[in-house]
Amino acid sequence: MKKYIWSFLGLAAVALVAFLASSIDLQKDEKPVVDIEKTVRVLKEAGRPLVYHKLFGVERVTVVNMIPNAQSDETGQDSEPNLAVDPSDTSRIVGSAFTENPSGNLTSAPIFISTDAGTTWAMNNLLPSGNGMTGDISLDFAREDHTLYTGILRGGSYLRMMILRSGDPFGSTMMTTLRDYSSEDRDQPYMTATTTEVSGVNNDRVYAGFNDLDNGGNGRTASVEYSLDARTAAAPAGFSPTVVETRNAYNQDMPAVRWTVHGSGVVYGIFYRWVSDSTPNPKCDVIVVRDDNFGSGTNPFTALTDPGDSIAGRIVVSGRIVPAFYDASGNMTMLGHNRLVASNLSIAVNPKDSAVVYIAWADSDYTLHVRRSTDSGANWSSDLIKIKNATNPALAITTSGRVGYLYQQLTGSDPNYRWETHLRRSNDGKTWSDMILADTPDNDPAPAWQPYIGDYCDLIAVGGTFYGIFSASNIPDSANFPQGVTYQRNADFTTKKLRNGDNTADVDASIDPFFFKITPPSVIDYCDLYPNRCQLVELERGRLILEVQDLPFVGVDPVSKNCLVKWDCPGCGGGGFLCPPYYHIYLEDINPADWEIQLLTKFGDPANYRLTPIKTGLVLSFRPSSKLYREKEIGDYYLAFESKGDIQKRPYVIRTKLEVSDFPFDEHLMRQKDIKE
Amino acid sequence: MKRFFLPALILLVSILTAPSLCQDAISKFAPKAELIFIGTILMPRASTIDAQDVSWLAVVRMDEFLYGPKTYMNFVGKNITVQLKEPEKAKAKSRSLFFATGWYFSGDIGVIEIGRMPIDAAMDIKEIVAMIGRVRQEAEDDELILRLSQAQLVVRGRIIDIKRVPGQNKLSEHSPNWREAEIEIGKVLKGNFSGRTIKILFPSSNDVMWYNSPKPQMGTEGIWLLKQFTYAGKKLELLTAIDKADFLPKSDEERIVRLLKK
Repeated sequence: MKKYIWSFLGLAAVALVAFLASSIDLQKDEKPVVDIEKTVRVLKEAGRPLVYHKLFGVERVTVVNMIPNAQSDETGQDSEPNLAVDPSDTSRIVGSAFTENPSGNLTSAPIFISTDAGTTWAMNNLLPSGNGMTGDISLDFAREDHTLYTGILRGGSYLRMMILRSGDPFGSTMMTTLRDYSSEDRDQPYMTATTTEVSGVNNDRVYAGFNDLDNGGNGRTASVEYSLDARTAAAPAGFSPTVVETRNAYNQDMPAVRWTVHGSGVVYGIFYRWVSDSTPNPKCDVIVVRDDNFGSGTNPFTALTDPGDSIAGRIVVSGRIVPAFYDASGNMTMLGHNRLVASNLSIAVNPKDSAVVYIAWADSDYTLHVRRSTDSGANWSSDLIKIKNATNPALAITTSGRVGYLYQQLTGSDPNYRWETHLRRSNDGKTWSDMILADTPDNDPAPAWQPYIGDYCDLIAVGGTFYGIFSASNIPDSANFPQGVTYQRNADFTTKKLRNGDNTADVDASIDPFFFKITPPSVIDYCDLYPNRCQLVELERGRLILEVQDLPFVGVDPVSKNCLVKWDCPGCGGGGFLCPPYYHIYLEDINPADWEIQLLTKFGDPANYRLTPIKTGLVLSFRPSSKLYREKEIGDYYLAFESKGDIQKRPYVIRTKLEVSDFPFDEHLMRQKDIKE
Repeated sequence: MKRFFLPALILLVSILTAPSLCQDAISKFAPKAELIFIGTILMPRASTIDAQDVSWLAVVRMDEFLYGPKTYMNFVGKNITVQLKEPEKAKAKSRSLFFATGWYFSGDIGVIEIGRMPIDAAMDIKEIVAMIGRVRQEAEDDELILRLSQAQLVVRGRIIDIKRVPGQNKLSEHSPNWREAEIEIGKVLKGNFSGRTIKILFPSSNDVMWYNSPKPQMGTEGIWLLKQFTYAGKKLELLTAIDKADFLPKSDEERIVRLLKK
């Protein structure tokens, strides 16, 4: 009898999870509020418990100080951060900042890497350098197949711009140099990349906006270095420069030249043209350029002309004062303790509609403006939102058209100014939510050099999730991080002091990079709240049953529960060497063509795992992160099974077993073979 | 008797040759190493860090820290990951002197081996540390000799005037914001210069690119290694001291004079 009750509960649970997942599709696409309300109404009519209504409002905010624990002693000024999320595996994220090589080596510089969707971070020395760090740096992943592209000014070499590539930024091989401008002055490379299929082959299309200070006497310096097939070819891998400024400038264009690319081939760029007056109050136009085929034609980036002079490059606003650089006495223009250098530009295209594009810039008394075009840049709205005393705007748009807007605003009064890091979001560009991610002092630490927090920060949208990075004072004070924060480096939030590597002494405050992520609600939220309803209730050992009643089907199986019944789950005391060890989950008698199988963390993120086909099915192999690991229960992970295509409605029985090892799966197999032989 | 002779001979030879082998390894690898430690390989083809391909890796216990940044000292007695040069030769439980460069820092660390030599209990660790100290000092001297050879003029002196340089061309956030400084010369250590003072340029910008460059103030005294410098495609009219190591305290004069003779 008991067995039938369990089976009934199990069927109900699986069906409910499948129903929820199929009706709200929260993992893939963040739906606007109206859809959630509709879903609730459907649930209500179907007699489902309305407690889920609260659930749909839930989103997860994660803020992480990225300095690794091994670097607890560091006091560097890790400002001007940038971020890249691998769209084809969002567990893989790479960040950058003005960060010194921790080992003291002057010939290489580090990037930050995470293989667990930003929960934990490491530093990996992969960049060429002459002083152990980089000058300006930005990075982006191609949309497919995991290649990372990076633009840097080589550390210790002034305005020596380099473009770099890595197929595996998580390994130990230095990035490949594709371009190295050792004898020209090029400033602020800013990377944007995508992938497109050409004759069945994926081509990476990569754009590095930069300011070509060597370009002629007419001041046309806004440029892009780009390649239409950057992934595999030897240097320069198709990269070549193009000046995108079509009018003469007063002296030059300003440093920031930013790009956004749509999968259809529409590419937009934005820059400031310096039109008159001297620093520190130069007057500038904000100009947007466009190309409709990735920049592949004979006159690239000239598709958008201005109605005033019919010249390529739409002037969105004209003659705005953009405070920047030095005054007559040689003093730098400042906002708080951070300098101003006309780098406050951002542009983002709607991934579902290439005609919809948002821009942000700063002018006058350091007011940030956001505007939108819905006709491919031909016409522009008035200001959608204005923020005073702010810098470092960054825009991104989710697949559902939701706009994210990150910026850093100076608040308070001298000498107690503070930096508030805001993320605003809007579904329509008119109504904006406001979330303060950090509220940190402007005077602790004192600036060691400039920029104090950076000339830019970064925001990215992948699917419905926003990912971002900003730099701020790292004083471990919970009040400074209203959404909460996790530190990897040693920190005492009671005394509000950083601690050194062996936790024996305090460490001075400094500027650190902070990663954040805003994740929409997912099916995992449901499982978190009602774990018993998410179990696949097959009580037999070594079997996992997917009761497919409706299609598409999503089944979620909490890994820790399996340790009670399906598997033995030895932990660190199991005689192995690593803690936590690798776990290899065998899923046999399953057709991989019918199922999308994922391992998700309790936060709904894809975990860092590998799927390896074997003769009888698949092996899902992973090593739990120390934060999510639980002894003898593996940890807070979920196996998710999503049906692919039109499979039959019936129970699918999967044989399963678990092997625990000190090694990744390939190595594990090899060692087992050695033992048997 | 015979069966004791061979092992005894081997032991004697190894005791006699060990210091020279050790000296050779230290001379070869220590100048490039960022981390030098004594470690025991616990498990070849394994890792403490998040690495999918472990074929070149080994888990090594750091037994003694001998040289490197303080960061690494926190790992004494702990297991770290080493990417080996010759992983096929790695044997579990073997103890070695490792020369490595930095690679991966998280809660755990990974380093890349640039050289390694077996070590046994008979070796004098204090002597090894002393050898490393000597080799590192020689390497630092070599760096300074190279820097001195590249300098057109090396002078000891004191700053007596600083002026702004107007009329800079293209601007970026990395513009150096040049200043002109006048040095009253105490002594010319290298080069031909007979004037009482010399004017030099220095970047006053505290941008990330320039903050480490020497920023002399009125009255600053020391030794300047002056070079010609090309910036934005133009040779600057005056000599400069751009790199942090191009300005040294006047107490280094004796060392500089000695190295200039080499």
